[in-house]
Amino acid sequence: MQGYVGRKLLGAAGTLLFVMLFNFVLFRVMPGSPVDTIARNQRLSPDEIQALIEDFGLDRSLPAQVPGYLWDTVSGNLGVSYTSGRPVTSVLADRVWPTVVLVLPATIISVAVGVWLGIHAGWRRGSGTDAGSVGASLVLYSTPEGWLGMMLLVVFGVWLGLFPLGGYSSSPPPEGAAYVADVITHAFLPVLTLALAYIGEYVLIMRSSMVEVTHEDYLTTARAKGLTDRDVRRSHAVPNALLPIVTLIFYSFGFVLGGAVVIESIFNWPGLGLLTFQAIDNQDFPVIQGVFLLSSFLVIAFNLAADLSYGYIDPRVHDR
Amino acid sequence: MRRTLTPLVVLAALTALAVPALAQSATPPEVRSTLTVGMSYDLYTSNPLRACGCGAEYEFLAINYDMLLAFDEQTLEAAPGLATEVPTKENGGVSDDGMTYTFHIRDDATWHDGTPVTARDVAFTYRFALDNKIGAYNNYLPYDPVFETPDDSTLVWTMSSPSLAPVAPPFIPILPEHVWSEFDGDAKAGRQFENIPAIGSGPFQLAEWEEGRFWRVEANEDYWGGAPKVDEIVFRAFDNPETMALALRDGEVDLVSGLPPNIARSLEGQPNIAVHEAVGRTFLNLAFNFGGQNPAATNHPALHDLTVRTAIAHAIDKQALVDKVLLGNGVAGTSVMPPSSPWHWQPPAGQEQSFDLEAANSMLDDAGYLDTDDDGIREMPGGGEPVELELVAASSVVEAPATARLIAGWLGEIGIGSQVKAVGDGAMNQVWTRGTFDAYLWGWTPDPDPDFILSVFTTAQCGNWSDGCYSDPEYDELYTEQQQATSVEERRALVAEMQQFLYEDVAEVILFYSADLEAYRTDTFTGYSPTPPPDGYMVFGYLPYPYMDIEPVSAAEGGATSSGSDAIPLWVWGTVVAAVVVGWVLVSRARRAREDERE
Repeated sequence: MQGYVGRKLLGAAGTLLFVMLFNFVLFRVMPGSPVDTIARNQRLSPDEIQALIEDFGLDRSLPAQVPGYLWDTVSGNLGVSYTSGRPVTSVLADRVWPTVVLVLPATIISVAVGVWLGIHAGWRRGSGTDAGSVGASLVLYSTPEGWLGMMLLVVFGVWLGLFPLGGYSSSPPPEGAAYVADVITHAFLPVLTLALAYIGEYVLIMRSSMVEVTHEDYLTTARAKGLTDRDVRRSHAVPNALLPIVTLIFYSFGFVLGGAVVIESIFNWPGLGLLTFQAIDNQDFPVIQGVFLLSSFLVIAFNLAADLSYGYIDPRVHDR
Repeated sequence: MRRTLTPLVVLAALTALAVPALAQSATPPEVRSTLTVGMSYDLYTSNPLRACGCGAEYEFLAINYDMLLAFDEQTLEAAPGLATEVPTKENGGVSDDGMTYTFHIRDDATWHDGTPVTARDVAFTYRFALDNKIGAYNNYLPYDPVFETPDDSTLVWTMSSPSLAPVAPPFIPILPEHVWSEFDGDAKAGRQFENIPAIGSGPFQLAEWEEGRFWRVEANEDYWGGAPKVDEIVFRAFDNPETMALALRDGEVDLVSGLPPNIARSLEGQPNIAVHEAVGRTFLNLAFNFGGQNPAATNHPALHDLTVRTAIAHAIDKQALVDKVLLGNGVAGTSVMPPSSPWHWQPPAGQEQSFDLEAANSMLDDAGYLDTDDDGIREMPGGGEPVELELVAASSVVEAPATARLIAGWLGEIGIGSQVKAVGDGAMNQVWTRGTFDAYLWGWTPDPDPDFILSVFTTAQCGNWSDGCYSDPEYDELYTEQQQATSVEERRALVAEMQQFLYEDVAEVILFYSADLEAYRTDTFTGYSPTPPPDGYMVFGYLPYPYMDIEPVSAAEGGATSSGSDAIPLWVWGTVVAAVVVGWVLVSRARRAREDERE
């Protein structure tokens, strides 16, 4: 077991180092020097441009910039945003919480509902529940989430007037408990959209996983022991069918940034996805680099968590 | 026991959440009017030293700060600001040699912290911009100026040459010396300064900024120009114009700017919504590269020939571009100053470079550009290199790629080959600074004063602000003359002559000025006044004027102000609670049924 954990940790660390170096190279081979961008926008004088070049360390050769870059990154100094001049770490920190508020409930809802539907659909294959949930899942799975979000916005926001049209809170936000309620009403539609967009995948994977285990010998044994249908499902089928879903859950947490970009743009949700979008638009390289680093880190961390959790869920894993 | 407790806990929690919300909606709303403005840009910075004019900071600077001289609300020419009058020779404010200007600073202006604004603050701001080489501002302060303050209300500005620069006027927000003096000599630290709340002397003060969400300014009741009629303005950044339009329809925002034409069209005729077309100020240009930025610069030799450039100008149907690309929301282009500006020069009737493919073709034929190898593309005179241009379109200007494709089609009809390449801003900056292009399509938004945009075409700007290193000694001479002109009439004539010069020499083709589409609700606030009237801007109007007349509809009618409460309606909470209770009952009944079945 210890050897297994050690190997996984080492692998993750190696991947992280690769990502950091790749990040470094990627942003320095992109067209357009960051200094050009700032200079045009801010009408800088030649002296100011020279000062900027020195500030960003762009006067040194690429290899000479590597150690400084690595040290800065490890010590949490991701540079300053070109546009606002604020440290990238604090720009990112501002955006993490809204993304968590959006993605965490959406994932929990879609996992809970999706897995539940998947279990029942797979268990009673060919039934009305099965046909209905598979059909609905396919439709949701193939609906572009941006369109879905826009439709929900028009129906619930504009026609019915139940929810505000975008934003994280009222601006300016109310105080105290009213603030919590305010954020919840603002979060409702984006969370619903994201949950609906994710749910199909969970239903389909859980269902097929259930279908696979229905014909296993141990279920026949369990039935032969005289267990009720419900107990066979709960205690024998579901635990064995859960493994692919666990992987999926961890992966989807890792990829929260990618999934939420469109939704955050539609709902004007000030999270990491919108930040990425805007930073690319503004050519704000330090922020883009910070977002890339953070999302790579999340993917690696959740992959590691998935790997480690297999060890507990399925004892056969650490023997490998 | 546990089972019965759970729904109670849920109910209690929901009630706890709902009660403050209800309490809030039950108490009479605070009489506080908040104008909410939707924009497609967020504020990029709250620091005037970093302001790049690329986002919403134009608006922040315009309402948070004063300038020494303002722009006139009607004509956008110099008008009294912190200075009580515009110095002229007649009123004794300008010396006979035109090198010394005397300004009298008003005595009723105060900073947002209550300190009086003095001439020393103005001198400090200008000195600071020069000494610390703040590029966005020191362009406005030519000829080694010296600023003296014999007393708190007098500023004496002396230059080494006669110039109208002091009354152009300099587009520089005046900063309080007592806040910014600590950064004198350390502009880098100055650029990092957060500056919230921003101490200025304008009619509003930036009080709060949540990056990516909103920024809020509060009215300055003590503003020397009179207190604003709204208590605060909240600016919200919308990433998505559809969502912004929906928010306007729903009444969440009162005023929006930067609408794409199709979305503006969908808002027309909606109840309580008015759409306003602000006349074009930003232009799209087809800039030719004349080379010379650096040794690596490349361009097509045919572009040095005025005949070729003139033929190209005649081959572009500018009105068709306005109709097809802008859906009619704009004006065909002529000179670098837009038609809404008092500085605009319009080619006299009969002298326009009108759309005429036949004339363009015969011009090229006569100049010896013939298609010698019969491939449909002309060769340079005497045979040789085909006239084939690469048109680079800046994709950050939404209209540029489509415009470039239409232009390429017309050029084909006069035997000039072209390839269109659309690139993002990063690559565009590279193309521009390296000078590796034949022609590009990009935009400019000139200041109200023509000095800066005219300077872009001078030889001195090659490698700096110049589009394609246009260079003509005669033009450079005119530029210096207008800078050193001693009367506005003289300068106006020179500025017109320079625009004519650029037009006739086809330094670049000004394709169109695109309109900015704004929309506002008519049932919440009233008094919207575009600057300059009647078809100027309500947002990004260079100055605070558009916001000064806006007042709540109910106040205008003499009734009490009702502020829009964002509290959640009672019935929403009722529905949520009911759904939880019903859900719980169903689930527990089902469970009980199953348990019964098991036993």
